[in-house]
Amino acid sequence: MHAGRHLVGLFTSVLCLLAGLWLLLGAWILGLVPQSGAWPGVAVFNVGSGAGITLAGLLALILYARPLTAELAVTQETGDPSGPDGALPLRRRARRRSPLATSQALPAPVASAKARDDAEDVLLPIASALLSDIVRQRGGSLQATDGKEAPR
Amino acid sequence: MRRRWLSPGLWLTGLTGMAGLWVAGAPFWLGYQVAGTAWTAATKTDVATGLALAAVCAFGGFAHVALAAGAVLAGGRGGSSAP
Repeated sequence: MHAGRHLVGLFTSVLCLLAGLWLLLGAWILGLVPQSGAWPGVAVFNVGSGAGITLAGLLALILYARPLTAELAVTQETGDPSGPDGALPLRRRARRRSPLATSQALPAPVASAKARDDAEDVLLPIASALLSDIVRQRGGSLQATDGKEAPR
Repeated sequence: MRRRWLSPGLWLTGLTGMAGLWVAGAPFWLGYQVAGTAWTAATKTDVATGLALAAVCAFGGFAHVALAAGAVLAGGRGGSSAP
């Protein structure tokens, strides 16, 4: 993804556009353009260079905004769960999209297997302690009821 | 894979930066700021705007190239069909 590059370009081109507009309109704001008669050289230069820089900034803005919007649309399409295959599990969705996405999704089972091992390590002592408690309680209640089965 | 670091957008940014430098120096090169006299409002505007424009374009250009190089060095897909 090149969104960072496009965002930097977009930011730069917006600033260029604003600078060009300032140069263009500054001729009138600063009073360089006379009400009537021929324009002085400085006014012609400012208006001309301002118009050129504004056009360049606008063109750069379009050139940077187009791929950015396309990239955002792709991101929305792949990340949106309400898409056409939104009901499918993530791994199956990735397999449907492209082989590259499938190969990128392959490390996931390794991570989940490791997580499962960790969970087993944590849960196994707890489960065995619970089991021994249950056995001990059953044994106690069996002793208390003198051989009769404990009520459930 | 095709790599396009010098994309059209980057070219335009560079050209605009050059134009900024031109705007900053133009009052002296074109002679509408007389040497030895106080700067006129037009000269101040042109110098300030031109230098700011050149700085912004230099920052944008370097950031663009740095991000592209970072993507390549990180093993990402550095090629771009985009500007």
